[in-house]
Amino acid sequence: MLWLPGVDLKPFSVAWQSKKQFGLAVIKVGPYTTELFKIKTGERLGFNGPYGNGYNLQGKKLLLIGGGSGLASVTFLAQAAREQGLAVDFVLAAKTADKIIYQSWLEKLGVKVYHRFQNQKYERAWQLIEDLAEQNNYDAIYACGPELLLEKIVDLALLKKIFCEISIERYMKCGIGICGSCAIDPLGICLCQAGPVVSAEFAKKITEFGKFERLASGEKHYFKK
Amino acid sequence: MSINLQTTISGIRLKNPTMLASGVLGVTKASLINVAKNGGGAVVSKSISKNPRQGHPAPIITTYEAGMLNAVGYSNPGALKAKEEFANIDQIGSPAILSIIGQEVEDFVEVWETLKNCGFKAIEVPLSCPHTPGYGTMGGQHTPAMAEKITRALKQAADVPVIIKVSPNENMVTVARAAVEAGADAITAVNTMGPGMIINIDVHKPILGFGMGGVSGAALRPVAVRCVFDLYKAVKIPIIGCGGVTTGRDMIEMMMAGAIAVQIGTAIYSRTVQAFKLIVDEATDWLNKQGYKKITDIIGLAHR
Ligand SMILES: Cc1cc2nc3c(=O)[nH]c(=O)nc-3n(C[C@H](O)[C@H](O)[C@H](O)COP(=O)(O)OP(=O)(O)OC[C@H]3O[C@@H](n4cnc5c(N)ncnc54)[C@H](O)[C@@H]3O)c2cc1C
Ligand SMILES: Cc1cc2nc3c(=O)[nH]c(=O)nc-3n(C[C@H](O)[C@H](O)[C@H](O)COP(=O)(O)O)c2cc1C
Ligand code: FES
Repeated sequence: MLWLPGVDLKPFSVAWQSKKQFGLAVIKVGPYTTELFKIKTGERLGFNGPYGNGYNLQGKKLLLIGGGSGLASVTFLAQAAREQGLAVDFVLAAKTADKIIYQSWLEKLGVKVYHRFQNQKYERAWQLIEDLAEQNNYDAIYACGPELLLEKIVDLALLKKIFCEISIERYMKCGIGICGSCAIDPLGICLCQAGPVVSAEFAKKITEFGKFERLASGEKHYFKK
Repeated sequence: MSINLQTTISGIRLKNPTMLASGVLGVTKASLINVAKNGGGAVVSKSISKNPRQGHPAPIITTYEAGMLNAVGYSNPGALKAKEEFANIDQIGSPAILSIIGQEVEDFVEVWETLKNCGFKAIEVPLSCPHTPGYGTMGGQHTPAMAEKITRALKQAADVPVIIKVSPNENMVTVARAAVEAGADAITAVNTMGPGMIINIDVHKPILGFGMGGVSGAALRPVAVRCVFDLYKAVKIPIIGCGGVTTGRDMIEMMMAGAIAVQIGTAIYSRTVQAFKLIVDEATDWLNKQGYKKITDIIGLAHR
């Protein structure tokens, strides 16, 4: 989690790492990320974690899907997969063309990148994913992005019996399984520790998956279908 | 040999003396069920206010070598949404207690009126949070006068036991006595102490979003044990011990000081939600070795 002293602490995934550095990919969506975009070189931030679990690499030919703020968690995986010489197809889903980031970085790694802009809806990205899954024999699918898209990906993977892991976002305040803000129904366990990455099978056990998330107060917020 | 672990707080029967402390997990009904499944003898909800609260900016929790500091700021969905969240809470396997907070005396009653049909077996009222403006010690509620007013109002409105949760501050005994006068059924001792502060020296700023926060965990335990010990002499109603209980031995210590049950919060950080079962197993082992037949036999032993 990234700490902006005096502002807040929010969950972010590590998008890439080298021997000496690591990077984030942040989308500006509200007060915290707006403040984050104002920081200057030399300012000090804090990083707590990493918390929770990551993806398990499996097989030789992989399909990765990253949408919106979920992009970072899969670019990190793309880097790890390429270091092991695995074949990676990557679907970048973004709202508009200027929101497509990391394309050339991924291509330099030897990843085959597909992108789709979706203007709030995820249909176009979904069509592409379905086509790719039809035309290729993927050993595994990994995804992070809008939850309604994740829901479709999970169903597809289960239907086609492809190993699949997704990263689910829930409101996280502590990252250490104490505050309870990321507890998921009906299991009552904390996604900051049991996730954020879960298997497709596990996602199906989360009854709120694809339906609602809880906000900072604990109040439910239903996803628009 | 099997040991009788049952304990009873004002008529509420617990299969063992461990309880979930308010504010740790406890935001959702499912998380309370998970605690009950993991052995919690009773569970206390996150504190609920009349209106929704977002809480303080994060970090809301930080840990250090002797425990934990928190300033969550009472985030909760408000009474109306909490009523939906906690519907049929009497069916989760262990008795559930509703923690209520408010600024005015009427707020406490209003929250109870809204949630009274959910199935909570008792009410707990923290007069004692040290880090939320308008509430607890920062709201001037940890005084004999306020303890009396709030207890009396809830006793009139509710037909379930009312438990008053006190702070480890100097006036603890007088606040507890006032609550007893007004009809309180039990005392939970204690809430977090302090507030304290931890500064990150690299950015020279306090870590917690609110700057300061309540101290819990190991650092609090000896203070909590002493508070329970003092209260056991001062009041005749049941005392629930809370503060740093992490192992079976800690639970036994708290009960020897006079507690009829113990609440567990910070220990979930080091021992996960399995803390309840682990603590019960460890205590059972000890009781077995010492030849006790029921856990209630050790209550107040340190006074004899
Ligand atoms: C495990 C995880 C990994 C994430 N990784 C990234 C990443 O790599 N890049 C990225 O841009 N974003 C990521 N996010 C989302 C990021 O945390 C939010 O976009 C950010 O907190 C928004 O804060 P804000 O004040 O700018 O916006 P707000 O106006 O506060 O909120 C905008 C949206 O972000 C959500 N949000 C706000 N605070 C939190 C929080 N504490 N926890 C979870 N969701 C929150 C809100 O529910 C809302 O949907 C991740 C979230 C999680 C849970
Ligand atoms: C993260 C956190 C949140 C808490 N929130 C509440 C709360 O909402 N209401 C309350 O009465 N006490 C709250 N407390 C205090 C605990 O219920 C308990 O009194 C205190 O932490 C001491 O017990 P422990 O050492 O076992 O954690 C909170 C404590 C922590 C650590
Ligand atoms: S973020 Fe606090 S429990 Fe998961």
